[in-house]
Amino acid sequence: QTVNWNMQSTYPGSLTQLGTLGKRIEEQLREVSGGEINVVFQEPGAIVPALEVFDAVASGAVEAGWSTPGYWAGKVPSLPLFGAVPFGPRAGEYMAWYYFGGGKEMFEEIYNRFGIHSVICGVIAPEASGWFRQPIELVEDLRGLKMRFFGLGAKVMEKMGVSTQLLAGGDIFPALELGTIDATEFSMPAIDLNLGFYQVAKHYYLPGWHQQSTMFDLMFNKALWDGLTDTQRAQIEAVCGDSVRHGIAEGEYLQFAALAELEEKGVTIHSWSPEILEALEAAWVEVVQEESANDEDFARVWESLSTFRENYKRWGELGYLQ
Amino acid sequence: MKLSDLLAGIVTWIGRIAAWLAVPLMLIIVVDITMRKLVEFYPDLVDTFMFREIGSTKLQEMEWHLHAVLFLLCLGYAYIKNAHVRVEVVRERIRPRLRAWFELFGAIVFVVPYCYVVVTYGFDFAERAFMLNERSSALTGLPMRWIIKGMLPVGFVILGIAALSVALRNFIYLFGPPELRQEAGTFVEHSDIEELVHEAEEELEEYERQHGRQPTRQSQGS
Amino acid sequence: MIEALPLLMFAALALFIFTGFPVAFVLAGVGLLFGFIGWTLDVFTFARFTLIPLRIYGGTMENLVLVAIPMFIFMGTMLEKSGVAEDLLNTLQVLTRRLPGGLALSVTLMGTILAATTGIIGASVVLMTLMALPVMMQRNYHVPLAAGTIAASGTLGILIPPSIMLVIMADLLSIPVGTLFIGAVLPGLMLASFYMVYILGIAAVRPDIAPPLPADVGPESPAELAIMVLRTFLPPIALIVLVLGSIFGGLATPTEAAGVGALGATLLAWFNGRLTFRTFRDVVERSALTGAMLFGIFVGATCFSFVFKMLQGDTVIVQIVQGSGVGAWGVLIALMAVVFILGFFFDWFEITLIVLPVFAPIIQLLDFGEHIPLSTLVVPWFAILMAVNLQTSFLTPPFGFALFYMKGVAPAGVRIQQIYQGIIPFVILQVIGLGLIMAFPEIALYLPQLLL
Ligand code: NA
Ligand code: NA
Repeated sequence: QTVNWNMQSTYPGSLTQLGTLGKRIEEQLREVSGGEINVVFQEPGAIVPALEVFDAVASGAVEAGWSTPGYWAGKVPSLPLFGAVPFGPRAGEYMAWYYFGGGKEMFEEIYNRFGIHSVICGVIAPEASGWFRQPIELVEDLRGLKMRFFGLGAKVMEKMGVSTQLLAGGDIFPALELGTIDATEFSMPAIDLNLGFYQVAKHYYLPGWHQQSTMFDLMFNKALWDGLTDTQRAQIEAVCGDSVRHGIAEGEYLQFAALAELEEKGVTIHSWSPEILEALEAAWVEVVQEESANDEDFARVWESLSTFRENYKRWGELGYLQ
Repeated sequence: MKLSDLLAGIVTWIGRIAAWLAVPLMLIIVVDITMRKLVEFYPDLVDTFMFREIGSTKLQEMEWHLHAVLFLLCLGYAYIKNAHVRVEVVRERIRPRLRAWFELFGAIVFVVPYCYVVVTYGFDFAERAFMLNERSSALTGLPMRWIIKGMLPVGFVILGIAALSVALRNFIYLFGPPELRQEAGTFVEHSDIEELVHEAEEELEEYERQHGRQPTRQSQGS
Repeated sequence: MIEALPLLMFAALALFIFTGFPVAFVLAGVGLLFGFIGWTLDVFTFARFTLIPLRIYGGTMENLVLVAIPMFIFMGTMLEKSGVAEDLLNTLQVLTRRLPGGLALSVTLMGTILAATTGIIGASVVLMTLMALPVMMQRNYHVPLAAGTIAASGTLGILIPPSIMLVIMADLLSIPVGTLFIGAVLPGLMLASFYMVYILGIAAVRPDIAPPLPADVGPESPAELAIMVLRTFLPPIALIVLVLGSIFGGLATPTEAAGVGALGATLLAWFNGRLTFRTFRDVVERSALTGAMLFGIFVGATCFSFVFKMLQGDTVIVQIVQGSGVGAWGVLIALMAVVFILGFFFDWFEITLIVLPVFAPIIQLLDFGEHIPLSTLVVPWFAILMAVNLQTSFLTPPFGFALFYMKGVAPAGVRIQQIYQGIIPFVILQVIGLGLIMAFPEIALYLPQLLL
């Protein structure tokens, strides 16, 4: 049976990786299935706005969604741990935990409870920490800083005395330019370059401690997913597996040229000082404790991930050149 | 007629109260801006209660919460007050009876079903948020999303009540006893009446301006 | 039949809108109706309507930038009720009495300044109408000319930065916002100057529709004039400084500046001794009604465009453009024509969503030869053309949203026909402007190339 579905995206199709991966999935699904799986990529807002994808797919009114589990922090506190984890693992270790360390089972079980079946369908390279108007040299420099940030990273930032801002999408750019805010988090160098943040802020900080790798997922309404044939489900799994490969390779490939171009545009690229990173990590530990106390699933997933990382550590240290 | 007036009264009452939300909205914006600037000069403020417990993200979320409640609760009020825009190119050339027919048709066939859709599905939407105990996805924002999501069906219940009131009024105008017709006709014949009321208000204001205190407009002094 | 449904939606909208039933509810009702028809024809499932609350919530309620609307409405209503706007415009008229159409010129200038504080058409049109229309009518301006001037200058805000529309476009195209912001400055100012030239011309030829101030009105001695200027200019200038200053001084975002303006206008009325409780309550209730009128259209329109989308209306549009355009210029012109027509029915966001993602890659590949200096500038140029076009479509009768907003707050005597009539010359100016930017891309691209 032919599938004609909509895939509501949370990112615009032209956005490097975040959107283009989604567009590629649409194309690949059509080709791999010989035209039997048509899942049409929809721009954010075309059917429902970005943050409503979860509800829309859960109810079945939209069949599929392209997003990251990190978006659903307000609804299901444990899901962000499958999207990006502050001070979390690199892509290789993250995937090891997800596919073999018990991550996938918990992920599917949690989503299933809300009528959604989701397939991890993309992994990308680390993000940057964001754009700052002034250099941040000391931990104290973060106090009173007005920065646009959200999610788990924002909770960490608040513990550091940062005044986190929400701001309307359209206001970020002028606000940063005119000093209404001091900094904003965005994405990785290749994306930030396209979006032109260098036009208004000149200090770029790396590494992105809040997002060492990011997983994206293709969400399906559970009942509709169950109604697919085994072949179709296998085709989707295969395309997603390939998309993970494509995403990580492309992400690693794109950044160095982007960094060079940013420097050419007059951006100063900074690395966080070890003291600041330590302070941030300490704050993150506090956030984890709070979230774990609030939500059983969060505690369970965190436990699984940190046990895995504990075990992995020895291999990570011995197997790789430091 | 009494029922129609009662319904209109309820809607108007709610709307007039909700209208005042503009004032806290304005104040919250200014407080947020002020605090944000102050912290630039006194970073230690971040340790105060205001910053730890309230914070910019919460205030900014409160802004759209207030704004959303404000316009949702006033949708019906605006219908009763006939503030929704109409294209009256044709309307002003047709007889009041036909206008009343159009109004009755629109209120019953367009507005009430739309309210039904938004209320039913909007209720499910808010209920889901309640079950999940949904909070702001910014995590540093406000908890209890079900409250604001619940305002959506509430607003449309009020709009639905307004539509029923209007429909009833026009029904009476078309089919009711003659003695009630004139009163019921205020809605279809509104354009004249509203104009009169408006003019009277302006005149009163003008009077106050000129007699209540010294004339303020020099350009008209001569 | 099924392919024709989206086009029939337009026809039904046109039909019902002339019954005089509120526009907001007609939009919603026609959406529902066609959802129902689509359901009986098996191309639409009723369960899709569960998405309407999600669209209202995510698109309108949760949209922080829209908070500027009630605040600008509040500011406008307060300035009107407290007489501040009237005083200012009277003084401006005295100052510009030697110029034909001095008051209309002042209004255009005010619209241009206001454009630098907001990018939301509903907000600026309402604000301008509240402040300027009653004064212009009192001065015996021809209502169509007054309405046209205000509507056109009120929509400049979507071109002149900051503008939420340019931000969304940049987002959808993944190009820098700064490039679009800077690129839109010259086109915006060019249009503003076109309006002014037109007003000067028409007022010189036909003083009866833009009457100059009678010689005996206004202060007699220069000293009196100076006092008048001081007295009436200081408060609004303080307000403008407050609003613009809070943005450019890095205090407030453009959205928040609207709140600053609202509070400022209230304090101003209070200082002037014009803020009684009655006035305040009046302003609060009037603003709420105006806001509800505007958001009524938002929540109604979302149903219409949702059903249109679900009935594959966007596919139909894409086919029309692709079928009619030949060659690079053919496609571009066909696309501009379609956007122009879509503007009758949809708000800019829906049009942008239908058109930009589909056509930007196509436009990018088209060969405009030497016409565009750098191939990377084709997309920004296209975006600016879209922006000017979308600004125009707010104004085109019979379904210009800016005209509806204006009608919603205009004094009771103003007819929508008069607004329609008045906007035509300005729409012609817009089309000329659009043509010029197509012919001379430098108008949009010179500043970005120079500054970035
Ligand atoms: Na603007
Ligand atoms: Na139009």
